[in-house]
Amino acid sequence: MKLSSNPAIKFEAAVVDYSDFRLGPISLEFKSNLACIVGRSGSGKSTLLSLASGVRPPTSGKVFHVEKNMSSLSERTRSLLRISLISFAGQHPIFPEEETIGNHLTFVSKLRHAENKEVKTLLERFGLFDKDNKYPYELSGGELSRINVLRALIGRTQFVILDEPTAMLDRENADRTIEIIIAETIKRKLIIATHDELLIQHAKEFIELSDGKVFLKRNIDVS
Amino acid sequence: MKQNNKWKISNLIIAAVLIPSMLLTFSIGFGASCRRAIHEYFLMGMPEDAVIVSKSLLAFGPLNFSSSPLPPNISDEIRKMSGIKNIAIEESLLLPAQVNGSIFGRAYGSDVAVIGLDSSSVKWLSPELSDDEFVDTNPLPVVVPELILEAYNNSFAEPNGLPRLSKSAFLGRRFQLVAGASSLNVSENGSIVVEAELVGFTKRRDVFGLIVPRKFIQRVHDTMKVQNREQRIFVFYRTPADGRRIAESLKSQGLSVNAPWERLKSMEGFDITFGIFSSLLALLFGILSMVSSFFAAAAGIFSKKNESKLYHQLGLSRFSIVKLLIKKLIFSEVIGAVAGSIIGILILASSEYFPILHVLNLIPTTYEILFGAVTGAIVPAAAGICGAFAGGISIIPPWRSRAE
Repeated sequence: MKLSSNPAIKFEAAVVDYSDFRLGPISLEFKSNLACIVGRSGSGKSTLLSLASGVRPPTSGKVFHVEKNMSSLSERTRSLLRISLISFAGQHPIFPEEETIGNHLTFVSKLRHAENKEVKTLLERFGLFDKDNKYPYELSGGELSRINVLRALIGRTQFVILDEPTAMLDRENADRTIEIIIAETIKRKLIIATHDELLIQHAKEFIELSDGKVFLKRNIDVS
Repeated sequence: MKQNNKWKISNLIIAAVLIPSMLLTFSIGFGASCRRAIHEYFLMGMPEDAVIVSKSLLAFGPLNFSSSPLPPNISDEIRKMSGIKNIAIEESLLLPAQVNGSIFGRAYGSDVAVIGLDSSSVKWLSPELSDDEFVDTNPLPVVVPELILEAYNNSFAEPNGLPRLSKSAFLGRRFQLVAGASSLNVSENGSIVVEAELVGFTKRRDVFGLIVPRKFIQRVHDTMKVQNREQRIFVFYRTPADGRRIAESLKSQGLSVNAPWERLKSMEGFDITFGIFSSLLALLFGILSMVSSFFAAAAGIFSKKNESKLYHQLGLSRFSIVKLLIKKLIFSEVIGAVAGSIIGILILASSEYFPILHVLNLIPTTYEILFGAVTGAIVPAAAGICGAFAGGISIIPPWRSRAE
């Protein structure tokens, strides 16, 4: 599949309708390497990220990933595109119960054609190198949350989409996680929903949502 | 709160598949052996080569003891002397009927018929031997079965007409009385009439023997005493009709034959009823195993709803997610099905140690055990895979769903 040389995720009047909530219409394009989405709980951040990650389609409007409209693709093509293009970490970490963390991360690395040593490196960077033989139920919520972020960073996907990656972390671990996230922005584009001020400070794009609409969008020029 | 739920789902599936698999294996194996036993020993509806109808054993026949050293291994000895390789020494079966002291049974797998009685019979037949001699005396007087060789050389002209000896009902009794076939003749209808005489006894387990339940021994003895017969005739026949003809022929010669044909006929209804019952039992367990396995797998998959969400987030297609989850569950399914079948096999195999089942020839054959085991493993596993697909379809929302 031929992809754009300048990959971007673009929304065109994208709308998501729930019975009691409506997101959009939203038209915007994520161009920078670190876009932070902020807003109060229930403002539609997670829904926007699920659209951006291709986890769900818009009810109406279009979402383009590197100029491809996912809704128009077959399931197989869409799956291949998402695996190669996007990694997503939801707000609530989910792990297979009967697999060790190491095995699961190996599975993810294979899925994204990454080398297993990358998993080891990431585990070390996150200070979790001794957790690869643990089962999810043996880990704390904070550890799982960090592994959730770590999992999204495996491979060379062009977009990393994180939903409140530091919400469950203490300050020290949050800072370490943010440091790793910022380092990743050199190589790829990150879209993050967050309330973390420190993370927001590093954002190149700032999008504030309110009641399902873009309340404020600001590009931060750091040149 | 951390909790150890590592094998929660797997345990559920394994348990749900294991127990029905075990029951299915057992019911099929045991049901089949029940049917076979009924067919063979009550209806004589025998698919194999021949049946020994020794129902006249107690009515006729001398028991002439001779003396000679006990061969170290009588089966090898027989092979060596006769040059016959196909002697199923451990594969005989002679089942005593419980009516009128008659004894009959089926035999196949061997070229030579050798009939034995258990130690109680021996003791009665040879009252001069004390209990100690039965247990400890070795060698005991026994005739090396030249008679067998002779009978083979003289009478087994038709390889296809040879009597066959079947699975042993031999239980390792202390002593086995060995009877050699003294003459074998092929009758006009193709059946083989064997005149046999007792040639000795041995305590070797590898000599196939006739199991006479102890509770019937006295009846057997009484019958023989009353009839005071000196000749025994074993009749091998291929079909019940042949057996009937032979019995009539013997009767016409003035011999007393306890022909249980009428009784056997009355057993047909029982056989059909029992056959249907055993089939229904197997069917019931089959359905139970399928239902249980299906829902266990479906529930197992459904419990992985969150995991499917994860794989969806990772970008996998619905088909890939279902495939992945099913792959994981198949492991549990296979463990459950195989373990269940193994337990079923063990239960069936343990029937070997219940003497009454030997007497009734209800020991499943290897074929029956394997058939039960394979069915007991495949049926639940197949149902489980279907259940997993059904569960998978129910938890993977279409990409266009709003409820995602």
